Amino acid sequence: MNLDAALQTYIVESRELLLSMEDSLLLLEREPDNADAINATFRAIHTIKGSAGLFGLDDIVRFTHVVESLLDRARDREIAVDDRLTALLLECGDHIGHLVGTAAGEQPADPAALEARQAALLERLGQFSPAGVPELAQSAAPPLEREAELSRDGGGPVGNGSWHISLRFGRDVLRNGMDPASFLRYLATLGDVVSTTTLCDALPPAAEMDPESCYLGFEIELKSEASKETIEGAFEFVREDCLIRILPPNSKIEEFLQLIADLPESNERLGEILVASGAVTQAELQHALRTQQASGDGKARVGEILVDEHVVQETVVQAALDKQKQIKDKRAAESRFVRVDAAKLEELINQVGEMVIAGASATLLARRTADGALHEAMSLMGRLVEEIRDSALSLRMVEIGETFHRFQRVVRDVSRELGKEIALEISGGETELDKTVVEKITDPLTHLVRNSIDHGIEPAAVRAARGKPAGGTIRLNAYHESGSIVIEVADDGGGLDRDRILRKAIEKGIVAPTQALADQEICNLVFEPGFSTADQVTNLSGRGVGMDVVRRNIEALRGSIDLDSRPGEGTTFRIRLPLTLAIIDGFLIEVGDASLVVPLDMVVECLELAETDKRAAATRHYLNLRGDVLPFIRLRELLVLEGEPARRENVVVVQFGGQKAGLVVDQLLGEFQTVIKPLGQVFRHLRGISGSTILGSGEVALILDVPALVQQAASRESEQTASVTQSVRPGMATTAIL
Amino acid sequence: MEIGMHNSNGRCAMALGGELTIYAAAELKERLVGAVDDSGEMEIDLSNVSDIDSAGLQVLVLAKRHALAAGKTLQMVGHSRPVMELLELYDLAALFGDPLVIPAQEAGRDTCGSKP
Amino acid sequence: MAKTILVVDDSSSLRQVVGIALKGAGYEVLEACDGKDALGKLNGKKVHLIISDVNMPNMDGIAFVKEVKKIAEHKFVPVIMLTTESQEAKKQEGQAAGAKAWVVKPFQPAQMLTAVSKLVMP
Repeated sequence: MNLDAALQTYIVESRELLLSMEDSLLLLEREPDNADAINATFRAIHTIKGSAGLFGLDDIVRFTHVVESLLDRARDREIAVDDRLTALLLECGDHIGHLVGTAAGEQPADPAALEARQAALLERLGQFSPAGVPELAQSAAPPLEREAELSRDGGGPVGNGSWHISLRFGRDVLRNGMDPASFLRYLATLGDVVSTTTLCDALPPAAEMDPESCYLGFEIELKSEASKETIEGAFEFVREDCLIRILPPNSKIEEFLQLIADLPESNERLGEILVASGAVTQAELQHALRTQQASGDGKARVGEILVDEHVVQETVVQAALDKQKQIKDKRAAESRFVRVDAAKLEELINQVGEMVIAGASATLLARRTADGALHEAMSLMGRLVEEIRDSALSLRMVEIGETFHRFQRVVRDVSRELGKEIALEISGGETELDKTVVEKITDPLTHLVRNSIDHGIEPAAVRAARGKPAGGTIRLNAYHESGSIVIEVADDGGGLDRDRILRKAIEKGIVAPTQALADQEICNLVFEPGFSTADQVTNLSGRGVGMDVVRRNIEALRGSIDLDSRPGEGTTFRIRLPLTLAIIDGFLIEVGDASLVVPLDMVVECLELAETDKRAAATRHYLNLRGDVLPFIRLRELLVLEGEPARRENVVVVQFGGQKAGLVVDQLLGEFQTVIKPLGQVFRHLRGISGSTILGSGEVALILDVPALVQQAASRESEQTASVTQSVRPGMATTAIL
Repeated sequence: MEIGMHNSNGRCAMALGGELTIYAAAELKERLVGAVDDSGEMEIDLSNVSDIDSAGLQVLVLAKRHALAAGKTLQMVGHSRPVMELLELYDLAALFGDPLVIPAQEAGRDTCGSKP
Repeated sequence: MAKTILVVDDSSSLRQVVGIALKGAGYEVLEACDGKDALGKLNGKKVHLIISDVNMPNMDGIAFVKEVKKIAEHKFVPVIMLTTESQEAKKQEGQAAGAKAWVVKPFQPAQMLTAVSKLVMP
């Protein structure tokens, strides 16, 4: 592990903290007195700041420091938590998010704007500060000591050019885990310890001696280039419990006299020690003592440069010890998790994918033998591989709840902006899906939610007139359904205005004025390219981007979207997505000598293309499937494959988003586990193909893009049926409606 | 901490081993002071001491003084590396007055009891 | 034998960076994400120093130190507490609980190493 990896951890961690802070702030908006929420907010900022310092991210330290100070005062009830404060803090959170992004190497879209924003935020933060100006964070620790004035009189310098350090350790230091030996060892790293005299004078007789108390004292001569601050710093953790005197090199004799007066041992004993250690000479000491006695000034007030034992910061903060249960419980759950680099997981899944392929290959080979035991072993291994694959994929499964949760903020912000009162209800948050899918679904979801707030929910007055509660509701829901996850964005608004949509679609030339459309089809027109009136195509989460972009994004994930709208009751958007993008169960088919794969969960059934249908197929593109119309596609034609169709052709009936279609193929080869490899750039534009995979034999097989094929078949069929078989139309309509 | 003891004719041979740290200081003090009180002459073998801190050292100093005050002799022998290091750091070898390097045959004398 | 240090903080990036610095200096490092976790990690281990944050979920640094001081095998372990300059009251409380060494957040890895080496050499 290196620092880069740690920085990545910091970035992920900070973003999570910012999200949890946002939750707390939103909670505070509703419950301004919630002490847990204030504490949690404080702790998030505190942690972001603390770790930022480690990475030298001074910008973050400086800004978070100001926010932290403000929160600290909010915790102490010096500042009232109100809307103005929470709104400001939410913006600060966003800004910190940008700073973290910059630390992550993202280029800010507009650095000048970022700076201006910071200045504006600091200004507003300052309005809460008592002095009116936010104090800036000190990046270094406050200076330990102030240097005291030295006495200018009292003789010339004496000694041997060493620091003289006198230490008398407090009784409790050992109990506190502070061993004098450690400090001496550290001191030795600062220079050359010329002499150490250990004093055990304070050690009482055995009966009174407490073996866990410290009775040690030291007189040390240290030759060192270090500053006084550094040498004093060696004892910073014990200075409150200990008597510490430090004399710089070449101190005046008077200062040694003062030292002797300060220390507990007798003057004679100390005199001996000082002379023995070379701090002063016998002659110097005697001369000084004589002078002192002559002047009668036994307690000369000479310069003191002792470590001040009472430097305690004035600001005493009444810190609340409130329990932070809500957040704690969540954290407790988190602490059972192991954080793994996504790339490692990716690698594991890739390896499992290779194993699946290798396993399939081994199984193929085994089938060629008549070895029963081998078959059995292979089938056991096949099962295990399948389980490993599922387990590996499940590692990447995350609950969608967290993503849903973010929308609290979106709903709050947008509804305020529009002056609407809207609540967000979340259900199915425990539904799991692949993390890579989650990441890509956030933008489309944001757009849908904003759209519902903006266009779905009516203004309060309209709602009142319709007899609805004044506050609107947006619901986010998720559930699993046949190998997919379904995500719903629902509002209790006015529903889509079908007439307006149709008018607009005709106006834009999306549909012909004469075209007869079912209600459902009209609603789905909003997803058509060019339907949106928006000119400013900025980002997806911003307003004004068309629904067609949303649909494109979702389809890129092999998903689909449709909607359900009831006039006066509301609209529900339904997104259907595969649970994972990496591996699917496939159904292997063959056309000519090309191998193709259809995702198994989209296969409904397989049947042989009957002679009658074959003949009919020459003129139309649908079959009669037990009375229903089944549009079909000849893959041989679609993919422009050479050669004549096989004598016996088969139809694979596939289904997607409530619509069925038949794929005409030569051969059915059966189920097959498939690792999806993305198509190269060259093949991106290929219609009807969504990816490729490698077969056990080493051959490449293309994965069919069933959604696109179904759509293609359906549209071609509807053109034809309109003119050819009006009679079957009702049956068709039932399959088209969800 | 491990203490082994062997008494004969008022002479006590004690072997200390393991960690002579603050965690063991109370027990060490009790055993050492007791042993000094119970015998006329004492020798402590320190060759198996794996770790010693200031609390442990203080007790050794105490025992030495306690013996001196009672007019008894207490000698420490076989100082292990951690013990020597601490004595050097504190420059206390003189106070102990014991030879820091013990001739091999002396160190191997019947001083060590078995570990408890 | 290398000295073992237990680092307790709910920020995993902080633990990582401190861990890198300490390991680089020759210490063994154990990590825990809060007081509860740390008590579990201490079980049966010999630790020469504890570095602990004050603000933590589940069990904060002060409560954790109080617990440590109750455990016979660990009650004399030195503790470095991590705090901010604004937490003087917490500091007093921590001192009373037996945590005498304090390092102010934010700090540079080198500052932490210096503080550690005053208490325990690798």
